[in-house]
Amino acid sequence: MATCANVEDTARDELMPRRKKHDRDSSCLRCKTAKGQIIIRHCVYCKQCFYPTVDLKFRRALAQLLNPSAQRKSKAPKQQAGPSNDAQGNLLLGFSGGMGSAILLDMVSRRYIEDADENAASEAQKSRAEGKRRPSVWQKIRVAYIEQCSAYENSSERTEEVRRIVDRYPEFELIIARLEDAFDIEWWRKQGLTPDPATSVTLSLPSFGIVSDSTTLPGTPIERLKTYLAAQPTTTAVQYSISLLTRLLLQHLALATSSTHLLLGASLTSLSISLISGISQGGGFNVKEEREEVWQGVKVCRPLREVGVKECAAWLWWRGLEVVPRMNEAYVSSGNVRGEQSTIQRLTRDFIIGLEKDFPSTVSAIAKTCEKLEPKGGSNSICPMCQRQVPQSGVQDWKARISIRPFATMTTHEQTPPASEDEISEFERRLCYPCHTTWTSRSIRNRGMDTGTVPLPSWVGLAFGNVEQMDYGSTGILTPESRARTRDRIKDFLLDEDT
Amino acid sequence: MTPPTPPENTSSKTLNLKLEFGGGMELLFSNKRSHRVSIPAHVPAPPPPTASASPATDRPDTPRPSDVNYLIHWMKENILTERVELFMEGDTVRPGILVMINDVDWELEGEGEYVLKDGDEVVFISTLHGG
Repeated sequence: MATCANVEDTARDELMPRRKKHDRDSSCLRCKTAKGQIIIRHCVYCKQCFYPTVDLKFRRALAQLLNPSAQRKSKAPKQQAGPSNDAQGNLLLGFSGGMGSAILLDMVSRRYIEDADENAASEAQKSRAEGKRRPSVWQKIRVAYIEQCSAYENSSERTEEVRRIVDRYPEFELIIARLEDAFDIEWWRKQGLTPDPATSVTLSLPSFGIVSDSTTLPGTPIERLKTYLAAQPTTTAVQYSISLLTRLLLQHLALATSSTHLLLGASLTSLSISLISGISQGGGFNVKEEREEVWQGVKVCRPLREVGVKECAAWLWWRGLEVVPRMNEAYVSSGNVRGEQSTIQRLTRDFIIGLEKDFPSTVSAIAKTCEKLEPKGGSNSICPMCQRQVPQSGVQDWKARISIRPFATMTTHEQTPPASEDEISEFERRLCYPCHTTWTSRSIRNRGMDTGTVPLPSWVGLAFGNVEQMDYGSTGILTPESRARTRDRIKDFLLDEDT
Repeated sequence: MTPPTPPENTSSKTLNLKLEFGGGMELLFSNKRSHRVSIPAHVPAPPPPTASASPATDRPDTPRPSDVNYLIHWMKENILTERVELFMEGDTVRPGILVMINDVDWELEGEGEYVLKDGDEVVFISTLHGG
């Protein structure tokens, strides 16, 4: 019997046996005959059974998007779950060069383009597909790629590699946009987007006043993008801004191409990462939108949201798909990244990826739990930056009650008591919590701009209408509605113009 | 320097393996997706113990067959050209890297303790370039 006295001699014999990663034996759970080749959340599958298992998850998520009412009523067995043909209009696929979006292209092509699908769920589908093309659901399928190299120093374009990958699918039309197009009104007009913002808007720091005057903007869209990113106070804010610009460019491209649906390639793991990092930055009110949202009539969906990264990796390898390695990883390998390791997004990703290795079901639980979350209270306004809903209660009051900062490190502007509701700029008042935090958070390095003017994306100008340059108020804060608000406050004391 | 293609193995002292990289992993290995390597068939003996080592310390007297754990360390020492922290964490591959041995998930083959055989194909797929 082992005792503390002879631990060393018996240590080898008494090592705890390694916990098995699967529940039963190593044969396929589905067909029960073939030798298992992959473990997915404690279940073993052979390669032939792996494909339809993953494909079913994709089709189920898509069916919920295309025909939500039928899905709720249908009691059809799982094998028959699939998208209906009720979709109208065009489809836009967001392609980042990463694993999820590469798989998204492959799955959409297999489901909606190829003549016969060897993994079709039923004999009826096979006979219908024999000899003729499967009827397409959407009229036109396009792939959109947003080139981000301008946001990084010493990084190269990836458009040619992206083009080579998308060329595998001749039925897909590739659209390439650039991150700096968010600051280019000419691009906006070329896409035929309406309404026309007329002029660009800039943000005046530190007052957060909006100024609309195209003559004051820097020369090129790239320079505006770099100024915008340089103004972000933390590296987390930079990453947040790049993601926000990318998402909204994709959504605007969907509008420009009359696409009714925009599909993104976020996997279950990527979704869990974005949910947790979004909540960490104060985006809990928009948890539902991270999964699925409707924006100006465009349904934005992530149909791989039930497919984990391990399944994605296996699919990628067994289908011979390629990725364009993500820029920040290539950027990291060149040793030029400063502080990227400490962003909330990166830390969350490392945590979730580590969690998935030993507790894969927990990552799934994160996404499932967030799916059930419902924000308290409604919303009647949209954030001009991220275009998502803002809680009805005042973001400013909330931040004033909960913000904690060391007094000694605060700038003179921050040390003054919080401004009253009337003195807060219109821009600040309309921001949602995470966007407001993005602009106002402070790090030890304090790398952002404290003063100056910052160009804003074109869609922000729309939120403030055709804003003309306003007079400075008594506090020196530029507010688009200061004149109208002042008039409203003193209207009872004004003489009628007739008297 | 890229290792030369090893000749047909007529000796039991080395193992000829095919290493494949996917999902962007090739960036860490000279941007090559496929490598043919030749590794020792047995893990080299550890350095001789110091005089202060306890006699009860377990020291392997016979070399053990090369396994995937050894292969990972061998790759780090011989063919890894970029940042090691993107490939390894501790004594094994970094979380987020799927390893397949002869087209089978390494978790079904005993993970790092799988004993390699001549002609095995080991695939490393990065899941870090997600989305």
